[in-house]
Amino acid sequence: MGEKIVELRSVSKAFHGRKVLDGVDLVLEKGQTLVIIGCSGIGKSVTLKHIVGLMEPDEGQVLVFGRPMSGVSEREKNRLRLRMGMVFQSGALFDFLTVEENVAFALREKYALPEDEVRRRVKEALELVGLPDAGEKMPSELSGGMRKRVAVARALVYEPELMLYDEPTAGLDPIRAKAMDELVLKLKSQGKSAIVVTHDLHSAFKIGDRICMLHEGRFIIDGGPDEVRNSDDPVVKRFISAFYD
Amino acid sequence: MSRLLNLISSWFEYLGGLVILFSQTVLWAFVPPYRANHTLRQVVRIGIDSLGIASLVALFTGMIMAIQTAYQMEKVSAEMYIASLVALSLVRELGPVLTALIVAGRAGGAVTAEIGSMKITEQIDALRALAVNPVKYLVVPRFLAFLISLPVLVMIANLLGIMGGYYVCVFNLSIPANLYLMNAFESIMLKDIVITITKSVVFAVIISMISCHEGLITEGGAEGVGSATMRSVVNSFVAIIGADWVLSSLFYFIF
Repeated sequence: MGEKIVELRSVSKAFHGRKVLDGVDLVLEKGQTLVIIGCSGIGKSVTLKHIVGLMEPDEGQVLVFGRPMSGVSEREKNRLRLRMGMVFQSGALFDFLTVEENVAFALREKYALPEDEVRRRVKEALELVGLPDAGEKMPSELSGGMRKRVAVARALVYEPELMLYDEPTAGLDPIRAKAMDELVLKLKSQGKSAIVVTHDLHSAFKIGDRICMLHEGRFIIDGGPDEVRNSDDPVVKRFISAFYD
Repeated sequence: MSRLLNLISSWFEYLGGLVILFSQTVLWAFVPPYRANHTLRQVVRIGIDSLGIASLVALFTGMIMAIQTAYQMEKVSAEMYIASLVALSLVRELGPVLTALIVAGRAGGAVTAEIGSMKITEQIDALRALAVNPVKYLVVPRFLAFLISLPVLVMIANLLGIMGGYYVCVFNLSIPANLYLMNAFESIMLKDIVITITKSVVFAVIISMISCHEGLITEGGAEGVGSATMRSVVNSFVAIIGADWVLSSLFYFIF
């Protein structure tokens, strides 16, 4: 077994009395891309938010890079957060900053890098996501797909070891969705570990080393793409057939 | 009964949230980096952009006060006291309160809407995911900007209010200009300046904390931002009036 990058130990979380995560266990090993699938509102994004320390579990423990992410101070969490990049579902770009300022945000706020180095890294990141000329634009001038790509650039510009994607292909046209998958695979080839939350099974089967399906607070399947595709579990089968119908 | 208890407990929760936010803000204000440019940008939005409306209201308030006071003073042939009444009422009471209410409505509401929109579009989460503290990044510059802007606005409003009274007294009531100015400025003592500055600082803390707190606890979509903005303005108004009563009582016994 490889080095554990993320580990969820019996994590439970409830909102207004409704258990969204019910004793969830999960392990992500170094270099792996793990895809979490499941119906809307089932707790996929909640799982990601626990990993990045934006939510605290009611029960259980979250470990990232072998260190606790739950029940620790913000300072401790911040040390771990700088080793991971999160791409939010909506992009969550800072709407008062330009694209260039958004991408450079972490470099300027958290790293004492010379301005030339910041600019070089921002340029590279924007080129990587196919938006080399968007630096001067404001987020409000971008389409949904462009915003998502800028969010990816912002997350990868400080070279994190772990990438977390929340619905990276949602709202993208097929060409852009394919480009996004290729980007995830490219980052994977650079040795980055990743957790991807998605509804898009095409994307899941293409980029995932492992696919987990969250249902009623628990992972009901955790296996390779073929294992999931050929699963006999009725919930998994129904989810897959509904996608392809 | 349980409804009343829920209401009381939610109010204590709200007050607790404000106290926690205030203590975090004060602590983070001393932690580098200091981001002077962020604070300056907020001073422009909160202070300089509110100058026009605050000045206009202060000017007319001074004029109205002079006219209303003249009715009574003429009856006892005491027109010479209009200037000191206008000046003291403005400096001790109306200047800080009216300016604070204007700033709470204009800038406080805008701060809540801005931070609330960031909350519902996950921008606050994005800040935290990038290891940046939202209180340090968003609240501290706004808190400092309110703290810098409001006392300055209040002093300008006091002066303009007195000049509004000057216009009415000199041009409508034929009171000699030098007599008005002498009476107005001689009646203002150091303790009155202390009162006006203390009130404006307390009001700045109230507006900044309520507007930022409401933004940070915004839930839901556009409707949630609208509700948070409304609550921010209403709660600020109530807190300003309440604090004014407490401070006025306190100063009455101190001075």
